[in-house]
This record gives sequence, C-alpha cells and structure tokens, in this order.
Amino acid sequence: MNAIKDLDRLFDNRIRLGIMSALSVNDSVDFNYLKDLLEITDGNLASNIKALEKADYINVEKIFIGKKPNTRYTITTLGKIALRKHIEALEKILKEL
Amino acid sequence: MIQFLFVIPIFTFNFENKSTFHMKSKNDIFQDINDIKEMMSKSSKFMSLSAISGVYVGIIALLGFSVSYLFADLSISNIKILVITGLFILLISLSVVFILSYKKAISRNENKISNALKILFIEFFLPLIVGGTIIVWSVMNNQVWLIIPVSLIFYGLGMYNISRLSLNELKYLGYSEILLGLLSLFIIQYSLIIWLLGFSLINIIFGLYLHNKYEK
Repeated sequence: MNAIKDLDRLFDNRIRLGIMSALSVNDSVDFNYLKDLLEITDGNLASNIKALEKADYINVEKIFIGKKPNTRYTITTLGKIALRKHIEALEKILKEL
Repeated sequence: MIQFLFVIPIFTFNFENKSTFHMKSKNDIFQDINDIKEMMSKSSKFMSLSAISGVYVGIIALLGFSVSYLFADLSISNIKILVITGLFILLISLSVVFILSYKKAISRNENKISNALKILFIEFFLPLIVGGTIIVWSVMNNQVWLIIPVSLIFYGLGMYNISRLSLNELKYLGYSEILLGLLSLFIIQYSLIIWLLGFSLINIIFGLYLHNKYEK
C-alpha cells in the first residue's frame, strides 16, 4: 500500500514518463528529437515539458546553432532521483499484487 | 453464526474496495514499465543493424579469399596480395552493412531518432582505426604475420563495443573473433585458415542466427 504513495503524480502521464525515460539515457536531446520519439504534436510536447521544467526535473537550455535557435533538454539530479523512485515504486506494487 | 455471515460480505467489500483504490491495474503497471524500457532503448540503441548483411560479409570474405588464393598466390609471405585482399574485403563488407542497415533504418523509421547511430559509428571505428594503424606499421616494418591476429582482435573489439548500443548478441561475435585472433598468434602456421574462419564462417553463422531471430 505504501508503494502507491511513492508513485510520482507527475509521471501518471505517459508522455512525461517517456520524456524522462529518454532523457535519463541521453546527455541532452532537442525538441524535435523528442517529438519524433514520442510521436506527438508540438503543443502537447511543449505543455508536458513545461510541467517537468516547473518541477525542476529537467533543465532547458537555449543555444544557437549558427543563426538557428535550438532548445536542448537535460535531466536534473532531482529528476533522476524522482524517476528512479517512481520505477522502484512500480516494481514494489507489482510484487505486492 | 449470523455474525459470521455478516463478516464475509464486509470482508469482500473491503477487499474489492482496496483493489480499486489502487487505480492502477497490473496491466497498467506493466505498460508503464514497458514504456520506460522502450523509450530508453529506442533513444539509446540502434536496432536496425542488418543481420543478413553479416551473411553477405561472410560470403564476400570467402569469395575474396578464394579468388586471391586461386589466382594470386595468397600466403603469409605475400604481403601485397594479403593487404589488397584484406582491404578489398573490408571495403565491400562495410559498404554492404552500411547500405542494408540504412535501408532497414529508413523502413523502420529509426534513422531520425537515433542518437545512437552516431555513437555506434565511433565505437565501431575507434578499434578499427587503432588496429588499422598497427597493421600499417607491421607492413612498413616487415612484420606481416601481425596482420591476421590484429585484424581479428580489433574487429572483435569493435563488435564487442557496439553490442551495448545495438543487438546484445554481437558481444559473442566479438568474443569469438578476439579468441580466434589470440589463437592465431600461437599457431601462426594455421593463421590464414583462422583468418578465413573468423571473417567468413563466424560472420555467416552469426548473421543467420540473428536473421532468424530478429528479421523473420
């Protein structure tokens, strides 16, 4: 029962879980990469990224490649811990079922 | 007795209440974990490596060896032919693997989203370049016998490296090539046969195995 409390509410959403999973195995990724990976629209991705950014789970970095702006995302230490805790909670619930 | 009858419905009611309170069913959780795994591997692995191209590489090596053995006196002491045969096989093999994997990646829509492809390239070519440099040295210094163990060992190391980023089974291909390379150091007189074995037979066996497993 306690494991359910450990589930991160923010990761109830599949897209946010997907973003975090992809970020956890890459140094940094850009917006279009995530869009292709998750196969979702710009607006949908942007709003979910904003939610994760607000929670300080991801870092947003705007850089310029030549004259083109490029937004890159990295996972924060807090985000890494949150994802790990969430996965551990999922595993725990599975064991209890 | 009456009390006992009352207890049962209350108990089952509680039990059901508890399990719906979970909100997440077992399937939901499995789905979540699968999603996490899929996203992680999709964004860190290149899974479109063409397995059947391994078979072609083996056949190319076999043909290359046979042609230069029959028509150009292939032997350890014949440096020129040995180097030309090796380079020729390497170039054609790499092109075949690249073209077939590229096609497969496009058909699976993987090329766009694979950061891994870039890393894969470096991981595979780094040992190959190191090995290649040693081979150049050994030719320049008349140590031709080194070509066979070095090419097998560094090809094996390349395969071992990319196994983490692609099909895990490539690890065993790496091990086999490295072992054969080391073996050829100890029995130089059979090294040409070991070379043939390493680049044709083993590639064909692994290619067929992986093709059956992943591409059917």
